[in-house]
Formats: sequence, structure tokens, C-alpha cells
Amino acid sequence: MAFRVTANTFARNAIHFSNLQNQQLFRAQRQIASGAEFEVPSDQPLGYRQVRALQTRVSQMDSEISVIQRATSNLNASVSNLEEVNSILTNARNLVLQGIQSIEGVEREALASEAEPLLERLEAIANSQHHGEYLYGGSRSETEPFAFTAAATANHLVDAQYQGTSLRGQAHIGDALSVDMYYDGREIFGAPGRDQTLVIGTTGAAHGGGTDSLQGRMPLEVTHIATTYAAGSGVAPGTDSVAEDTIVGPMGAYTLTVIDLAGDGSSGTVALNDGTPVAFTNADTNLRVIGPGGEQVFVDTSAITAGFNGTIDIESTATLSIDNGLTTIPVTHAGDQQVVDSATGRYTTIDSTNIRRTGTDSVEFPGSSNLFQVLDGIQRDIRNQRGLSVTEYAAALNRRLGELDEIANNILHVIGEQSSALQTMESLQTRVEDMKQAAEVEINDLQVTDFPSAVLNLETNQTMLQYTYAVTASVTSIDLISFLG
Amino acid sequence: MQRFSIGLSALRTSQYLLESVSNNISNAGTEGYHRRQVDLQARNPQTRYNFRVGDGVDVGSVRRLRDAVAEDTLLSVSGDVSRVDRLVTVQRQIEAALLAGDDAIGLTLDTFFSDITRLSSAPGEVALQTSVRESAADLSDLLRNSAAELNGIRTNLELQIFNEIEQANQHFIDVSTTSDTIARQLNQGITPNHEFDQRDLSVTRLNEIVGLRRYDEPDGDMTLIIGRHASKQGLKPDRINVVQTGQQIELYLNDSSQPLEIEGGRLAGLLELYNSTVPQFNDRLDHLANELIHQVNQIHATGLGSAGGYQFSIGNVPVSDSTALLQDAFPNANLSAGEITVGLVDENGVRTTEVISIDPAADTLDDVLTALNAVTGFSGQVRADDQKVQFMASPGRRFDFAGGFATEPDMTLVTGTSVATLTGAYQGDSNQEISVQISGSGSIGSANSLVAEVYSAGGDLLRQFNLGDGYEPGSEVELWEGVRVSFSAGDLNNADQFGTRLTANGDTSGLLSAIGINAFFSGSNADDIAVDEALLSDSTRFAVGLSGDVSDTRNLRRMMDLADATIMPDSQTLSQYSDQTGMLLGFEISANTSLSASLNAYQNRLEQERDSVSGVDLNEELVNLQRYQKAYEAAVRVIQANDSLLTELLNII
Repeated sequence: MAFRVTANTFARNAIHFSNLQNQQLFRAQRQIASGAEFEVPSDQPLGYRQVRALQTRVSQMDSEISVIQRATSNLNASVSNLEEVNSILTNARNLVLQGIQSIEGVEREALASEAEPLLERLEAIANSQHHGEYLYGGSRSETEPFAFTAAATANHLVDAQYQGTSLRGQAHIGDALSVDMYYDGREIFGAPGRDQTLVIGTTGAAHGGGTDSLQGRMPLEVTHIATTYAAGSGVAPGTDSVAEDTIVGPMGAYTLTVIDLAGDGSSGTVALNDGTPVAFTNADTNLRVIGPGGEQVFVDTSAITAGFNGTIDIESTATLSIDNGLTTIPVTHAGDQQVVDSATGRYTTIDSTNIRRTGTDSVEFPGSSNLFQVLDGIQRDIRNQRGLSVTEYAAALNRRLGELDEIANNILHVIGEQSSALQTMESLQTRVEDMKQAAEVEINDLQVTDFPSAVLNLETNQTMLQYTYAVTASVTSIDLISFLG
Repeated sequence: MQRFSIGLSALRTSQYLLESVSNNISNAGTEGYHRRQVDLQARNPQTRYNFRVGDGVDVGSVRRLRDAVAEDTLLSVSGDVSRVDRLVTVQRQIEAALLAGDDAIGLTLDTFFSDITRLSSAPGEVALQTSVRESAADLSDLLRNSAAELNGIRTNLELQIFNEIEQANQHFIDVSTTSDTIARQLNQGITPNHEFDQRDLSVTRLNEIVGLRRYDEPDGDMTLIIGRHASKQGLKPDRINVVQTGQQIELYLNDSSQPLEIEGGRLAGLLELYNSTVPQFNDRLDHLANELIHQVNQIHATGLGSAGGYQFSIGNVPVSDSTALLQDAFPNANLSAGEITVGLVDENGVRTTEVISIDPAADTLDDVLTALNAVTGFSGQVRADDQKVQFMASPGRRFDFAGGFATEPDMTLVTGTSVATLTGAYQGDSNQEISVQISGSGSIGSANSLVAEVYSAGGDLLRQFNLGDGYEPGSEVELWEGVRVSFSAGDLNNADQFGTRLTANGDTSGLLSAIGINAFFSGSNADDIAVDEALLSDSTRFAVGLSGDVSDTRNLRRMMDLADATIMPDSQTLSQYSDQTGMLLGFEISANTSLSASLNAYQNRLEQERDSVSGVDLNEELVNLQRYQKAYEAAVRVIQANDSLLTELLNII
């Protein structure tokens, strides 16, 4: 049976197909107007998933670029700082070399004066900030990394207390890459490594071995306590003996020769360690006797044994102190006396076997000074504040040179590390930016309307719609009624 | 007068035909109308003069033209069209709720993690901290709004379902009433064409709601099949009843105890959307939110903000029953057997750590609190007023769950006088016990041979370092993975040893997240996710690190790692899971849109086939009108001729 077509069939077809054409037109219009090939997942589910994955990567890469830029800025600031530190070290080195050559006090003072601002600048750099964060305090970047306290005495050095952490502050880039932004200041400005302790002075004290814990340099005070004379001569300590005797030693380390010229002990001579004899009378209660090495004792000769002529042994006791007398220990003439700084609990081991004189030695802990202390030590040593001999002076400045070189190596190492990180980040930034651009292009390709195609679709569907309307109007205009009279 | 009756029959049938054509024309646009065709029947002829001439014409029948095959197929396709169209409509609403615009969840999730990455470059910068909190708040708002939209859609679906059922039940009444009328008319010998149309129309409309098949019996009875339920239409109308079980809606036909499985029609689509589609996407949204809350909170709870440890901290999750097993008390939390490490720092900066073992399958919250209360300087309880867990440190102490290590290790097994102190930051990835054994005897810093050997829990020698001559007493030496150790002046003896626990993750059980201690987010799913109020009011609580130092970004690193962690089903990241939600929905809509287009085309074709039989063609009817008009005129002529003959005959009289 032939398919029977009714007017309703025409109408239904007209509606059905005009709907279809309108839907296509709507899609083309939306694509052209919005500029997006698809707006919701249902337009293109797979395309949506691809675009979303790319968008996630772009978002990640965007933040990575931001982190790279921030870290680059930080590291650039740090490298710039450290290059300045390097320059300071070069200047300091030159000053030390000039100091070694210098023999005139005025010239040394001028050189030391040049060194002082270097320390000030170094302190400023160590506590420098970038974007409001301290660069050299490790993860504690909100706190000033170093607290400086001026040296207590000429025999001390500036104290630089580190207040940061050992943990480097890191920024994180990507899946597994972290970049160190805030370094542990001790890595940069800290001591290069402890060497053998040196005791510089005249007391006869020496380093007792082992590894000390005191840092920088400290004054070792050998303070007289009491002098005791062997029995028989009638010699007794003078009234200033305790305060003014400069000899230290066990019984027999020093001797006193007494010659009773009067024969009844009323006058004669006394000599310390075979030194120049000093005349005495029985009226002397505080007679100064100087030995051949300049050591001195004060004796009381008011009760010399009549007719005594001979040499008697002397014992002189003393104490040791490393903290300006706050705490003392008696000199035992042993090889390993531990002298503790009561302020820090740190100590040094002293060999007191050969301590023979009172006085203040300088105990130097080479390699334990941080950079601030090294610079401080340089200006002090150039001024020769410790009163070193020419040889000791040169040796001390040479040690400073060695310390400078070691710290300079540390700093160059950190500069190298940070420069390398900068290089890595520069190439990483380029790569991430390229990848981001590629991802954005891909998103564009996937999501942005293919305009020629969309316009063509629009035109085609417009034409098709016109045809649909035209044919609908044509077929529905013909009916029998028009022909019936 | 036989001649008159023949003419009269022709006149009457012509009249009837004209009426039939007129009715067809007038119902040309009536929905459900089937055109009628009148079949004429010649009257039985009478025999006169041994010849049979005929006695005129009668109306034999009025046929209702119908293509049963096409209409049955159309019925099935229409049910599918209704179902698919409803699915697409609502799925597009879901798509708009979840994914439309620039605030889509996936994009906001990306922004949240990107902001965390940015923050790692300047963790102390307020603007970047604010940015992270804002993006977290945006993400929370978006998840909540999306969940609310879905709930709104579901509520609307529920109303639509009830409305459709009401309409369906009305159609059942109509079908029943009409079927009864049909039966009665058929019994009276009347052809109930009009009632058939009415019943078919009701069935068509019912089919658009519930999707059905029909079996027409020769006697006019009809059986409707909906799912696996068949029901013969008669006096008692069928009725669909609704039963809501939990969050599901089930339908029952009449008194049946078996649920009605509707496969087509709008109701099938609505039920699928209500029972399956919307809950599916709601579940995905909840799963995403829950995992985000749990994972971020777990990391955040075991970190430290710039304010450092806590004097007290209150969880943001009310505990319903502290005597229940943890796995039952916190069903939404990802709890597992593990340990919590409580870190306590006293006023001298000495840090101690205590480890509490937790088994969610064996321990209750009360058990855990009892164990925690045994830690010196620490206490925990469930608050009576709001049932939230509160932890407190004794005065002068602060607590945290950031792991790390005790700064003063237990020196019980050390016979010497030197004391070890730990500093630095543990940078390992796992919790581990290590031990330090002394080889040699003598004074720290001066002994000829005094070495510390570091061993793992498994007995492997990790490293060793000198403590004798060359070691500066009190100086720090790398112990293991960023942890440093220093030994005070004194002596150590051979075989002296001490151990320490290095904790990378302060909570491996997930309990802190479950009770919401030091949380980043509050809530448990997409309905109630929000940024924790305590964090919003105090930015120093934002746990970017593990030490409290501003630029300690180790915890941010862990949060960043979360962006790439494949913690969601099918080894997906949070973002991928979110995108997959969109893609799945997109595929469903796309597939249903295509299906709808093809079904509509098929429906159009079937409607054409139906109309080719039962549709009224005006031109055809006009032709018939002309034809029957002429027949009428001819019948009149026949009567006139007979009348003329009769007049002539009477004139004879």
C-alpha cells in the first residue's frame, strides 16, 4: 500500500525539520557569539576533560612561575649580598696584608679604622631583609638572624648570637623540586672549623690538649694568690706580696738567695733566682725583689735569721680564670686544667705545668671565630691590642688571613650554590613558560571556536531553514478548496 | 411504494456519509482522533416477477481506521522519548549546578592548590595567606552551593514524581471508565469508535508518564503491561502508590508487594534521576568534599602555624558517643590503626614526645583520651556543652602533633656524664626509631677514640661520628635526616646508648582529622564544608610548617603533594575526580541527547505511518464531500422521479 500523506504529515515534517535546523543554528550562533567551541561538558565530554586537565596544568604552572620569580628575586638579592661580602673579605684581606707590613702605630690605626666599617657593613648584610623576610635566619625568617654584642674587652671579640634555625626556608616548585630561599646564617658567616688552640702570652700557660669549646679569643688570667718561702731564712712575704708578686710556681720553681752581711740578720742582700741582689735591712717589710726575667716578689726581711746565708725555695700559688675573674680555679701545674667561662659554660683546657708568671694571656681558638669575629679580630690585631710581639703580631694576622680565606671559600661555595639554583630556575622558568604557552595553545585549539567552520555551519543551516520554510509554504498552499467553486 | 424506500435509503446513507466526512474534517486536528470510514451495504433484493432488482442501500459499518502495528511501536517509542527527554532536561540542570561558568569546582580546586604553591614562596605574606583562605572559602562555598543545588533539584524531582503519579492515576481512572463504556456499548451492538479514541488517548498520555505496552483483545478489552505488572482494564482503575524508603522512592501498582519497575515514560526518567543520577553526583560531590576535608585537615592537624604550639585546642566535630568504637563513632572518617604523637614544649623550650597507639576497631574515644591524659602536662576531654573534643596543655607548656623528636633523649642507658641534646628539624618521610651507641670510652672532645654510631630500628648502621679529640663539646653534629645532636662536656663509656623516635607524621591514625582538632576545614561532606572558624579568625593558626617558624614550609609541601596524590577512586587526584564527574555527566547528557534526537526522528516517522492510516486528509475528505453531495443529489432525483410517477398515476384517478 502506498504511503498516504496528509496535511498533518507536511506540518509535522515542517516542525520537525525546522526544529532540527534551529538547533543547529543555535549551536553555531552560540559558538560564534561566545567564541567557545563548547561551554559545558555535555557539548564535548572528552574535549572538556582534556581542557580541564590542561587548565589544571596551566594553573599549576602559573603558580610555579610565581614561585620561581619570587625565589629568583630572593636568591638574586642573596647572591648580590654575598658578592658584597666577598668584596668585604677582599678588602679585609688587603688590610691584613698591609697591616703585616706596617710598623708604625699611626699607619696601623688608619688600617684598623678602615676595617671597622667593613664589620658594620657585614653585620648589616647578615641581618638584611628582602620582601620583609630576613635572608639568613633559616626558616625563622621573621627574626633578625644575628644579635651582636660588642666585645667586652680588648681581649674579646664581638659576639654574634645566631637566632635563626638550621632548617633552610624553602619554596616549592612543581612535584618534587624545592629551592632553598632562606639559608642558615651560620653556613655563610659561621666559623670555618676549629684548629689547635693557641695561648699567647708570658705566663707559661699552654693549651692542654683535647678540643675546646670556647670560641674566638679569650683572656686567660693568671692571678697571684700567695708566696711561700722555705723555712730557715726568716724571709716572709711582704705586705704587697699577694697583690704584686708576679711569680707562680711550685716549691723550687723559684729561689731566693739571702746573704746576711751584718751577721745578725739586720742587713744584707736578697736575690731572686740569682738575679741582681737587693740590699735589705730588718726594717724592710715590703721589699721589692726583681728577678733576672723581670719577675718580682715583695718580701719582709724584718726577721732574717741571724747569720743565714743561703738559697731558699719559693712556692707561689695562683688562679686561672677565663671570664675576667668571675670564676677561678687554682693553678695546679697539671697538664689538663679545664677553665670554664661561667657566662657560656664553654671551656678551654690549659696545661699549667709551666705557668711561672702572673698576667693575662690571650687564648685564641683559631677557626672557631665567625666572620664577624674574624673581622673584629683583624682590626684589633692590626691595632695590636693584645700587645703581641712583632713575630706574634705577624703570626696573628696571618691566622686571620687563613680564617678569611676559609670563610671566603664557604661564601663562594654558597654563592655557587645559589647561582646554580638561579641558573636552574632561569631555565626552569623558560621551560615552564614554554609548557604553559603550549598548554594554553592546546586549550585554544580545543576550546576556541573554529570560526570558519562555525560560520559555514551557520550559513548552511540558515539556507536549510529557508528551504524548509519555503517548501512548507509551497506544499501547504495547495489544497482542493482553492479549486472548488 | 418500494421506489420511494430505495430513494430514501440512498438519501439517508448519503446524508450519513456527508456527516461522516464532516466529522472527519472537523476532527482533522483533534489529538487521538482516527478518521472514520463508512462502509455501505446494499439492501437484500426482493424478488418480483422472478427478478431481483434490489431495495436500496444501508450503512454497513463505520470503521475507525488504525494501524495497530505502527501505533503499538509508537507507544513504545513515545515512552522512551518521554523518559530520555526528561533525563536530558534534568541532567542539564545538574550540569549547570555543578559545572557551568568560571566557578566550576575543578577550577576552584586548582586555584586552591595553586595558591598553596604560591604561599610556599612567601609563607609570611599576609596577602598570600589570605588568598589561600579565600580560595578555600570559595571552594567550600561552591561545594555547598552545588550540593544545595542538587538537593533543590532532587526536591523538585520528588514533587514532579508525585505530580506525575497523580496524573497517571487520573489516566488510569479515565482508561477504566472508558473501557467500561466500551464494553457496555459493544454489548449493546454499538461500535464505540469515539470511546476507543478516548481510551487510546488516555493510554497514550499514561504511556508518556509510565511507559507501557498494551494488548488489545478482539472483544474490546485491553490489558496494560507496566514493567512486569500486567493489568486488564475494567471497572476498577489501577493505582500507583508511592513508598519512600530512606532516600529512595519506590512505586507499587495497586496492592502488589513487588515494586513497579517502570522502564519508560517521564516517571522512569524522574525515578532514575531521583534514585540514581542525583544521588550518584551528590555522592561524588560528598566524596570529593569528604576526602578534601579529611586529607587537608590531617595534614593541617599535624603541622604548626607561626603561633607555634597550643595551650588548648577544640575540635570542630561533635562526638556522638565517646564510648563507641572509633570506627563506629566516626563512620565518615578514614581511620586506620596507627599512632598519635603528642609533642609538648615546656617554658625552657624542652620538647618531649609521647606516642599513643590507636586501633579504631578496638579503641573508643574514651580509651584514647585516657591514654592521652596519662601524658604528663597534657589532658583531653569531651566538652559537656557541645560534645567537642578539647585538648589542653598544663600551664607553661604548649602542645602540638607536629611530630619531630624529643630534644632531651632518654639517657637511662648512658653511664657517662655527658648529656645529648637534639636540635634541628627531622626531614625524613617516615616515622622511625633510631639508636645511638657509644664505641670507646673517655671524655668528650679529648678521648683518643670515642665514636657515636647511629643505628636504625632494624640494626643497620646509618652513620657514625667522632666525639673524642676533634669534637667540640656542645657543638651540633648531624644525627640523621636533619636532626642534629650535641654532647655536653663530660665522658661516655663504651656501650652507652640512647634511642630516639623521629616522627614525620604526628597522626597516622587519622583521628585528629576525625575529631577536627586544629582543622583547616569544618564539616564532613559537600553540604557543610567550610573553612574552620578558628583559622579564619586567627591566621597564625595556618599550619604552614612543622616547627612554628614562618618560613618552615614543610607542611605546605605536604599540602601541595595532595594536589597530585591519587587518593580518589581509579587512582585519580582530587582534580581529576572532579573533572571525571563533569565528563561522566557530559557523556550521559551527550548520549541521551543523541538518543533523544534519534528517538524523536523515529517517533516522527512512526507518527507519519500512523497518520497515513488514521490521519485526516482534508483534500481527500473534500473529494468525498463532493462525491457524497452528488450522491445525495442523485437520491433526491430518484425520489423526485418516483414522486413524479406517482403524481402521474394519481392524475388518472
